[in-house]
Amino acid sequence: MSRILLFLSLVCLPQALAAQDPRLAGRLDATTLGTVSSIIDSARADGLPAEPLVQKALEGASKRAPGEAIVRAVRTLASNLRTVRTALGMKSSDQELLAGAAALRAGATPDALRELRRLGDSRNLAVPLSVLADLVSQGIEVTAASRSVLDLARTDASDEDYLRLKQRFDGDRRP
Amino acid sequence: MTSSDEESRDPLIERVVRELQKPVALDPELESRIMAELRQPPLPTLGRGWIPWAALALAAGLAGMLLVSYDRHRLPKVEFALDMPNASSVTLVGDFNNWSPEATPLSKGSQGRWATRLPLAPGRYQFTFIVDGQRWVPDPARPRAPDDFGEPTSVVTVIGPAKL
Repeated sequence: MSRILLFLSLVCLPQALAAQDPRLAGRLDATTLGTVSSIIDSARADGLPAEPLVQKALEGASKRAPGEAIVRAVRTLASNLRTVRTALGMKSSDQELLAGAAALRAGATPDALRELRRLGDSRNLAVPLSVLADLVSQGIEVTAASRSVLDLARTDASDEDYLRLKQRFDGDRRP
Repeated sequence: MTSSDEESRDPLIERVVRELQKPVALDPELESRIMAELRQPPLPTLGRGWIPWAALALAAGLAGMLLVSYDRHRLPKVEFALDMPNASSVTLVGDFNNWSPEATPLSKGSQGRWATRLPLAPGRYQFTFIVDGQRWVPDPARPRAPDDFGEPTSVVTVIGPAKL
């Protein structure tokens, strides 16, 4: 019996500790901490990565943002991670989800992400999605940025090819 | 192995076998001591049951620490730099250091260039510089990220040895 209890405690302890991230405790007020922890728990229970949400909350705390703004940002990111996973599929990696959420945040559409997954099949899409997010964030029109990344995806491009695509846009934008 | 090696080894093996076959002289009181030990009540199972679990947990922890340490040495180092000749301090905050202003101070080099190099796993990271402990400055060499909190934020995407 004692062995069973010990085994259960070893299995459950990390989950209990993870319920409220210790990094957040000293950085958020009690109300914000409770709400953010609840969002993170819910995301974790859905199989979404918790670390980007923790970092978003810490970013807000570091920038001395009001609690409501931190909660709003964490909630938006969690929602975007869910949308990206629906678009890219349940087997998407954490890095793909994070890059996809950045692309959504920048203005890309779930349809563009779905098309990228269709073209890329099982390829890791973290870099193409990150480049798409950067292009849109830099002011490239969403449709044009999506079309460029999708065109590259049709050619079975490497991560370095996407790097060159972004550098080409960087060059075009420099005076 | 040559046939001469085998011939020279055989006598040695023979001697070892003979030694092993000799009867072992036991202490005449040994049997009574063993029987007395066996008659003792058994130790609580919890006391002994902890040992393999604790050893397993310790071994797993040590293996994890070694793996993390090993991986950190293999990660590509990404340079973060900012030209700020008149600043008295520049620090780096981002997704890689829990946005802690004290975690990553930059070193001032020649011509007012502040820089540091961090080992980062491939991925997308948001970050910014804090100048003189109060001014948030984005990296002019890297893309900006949409900001949720009203301060400028940059982004770096690490892809193996290169960076975007």
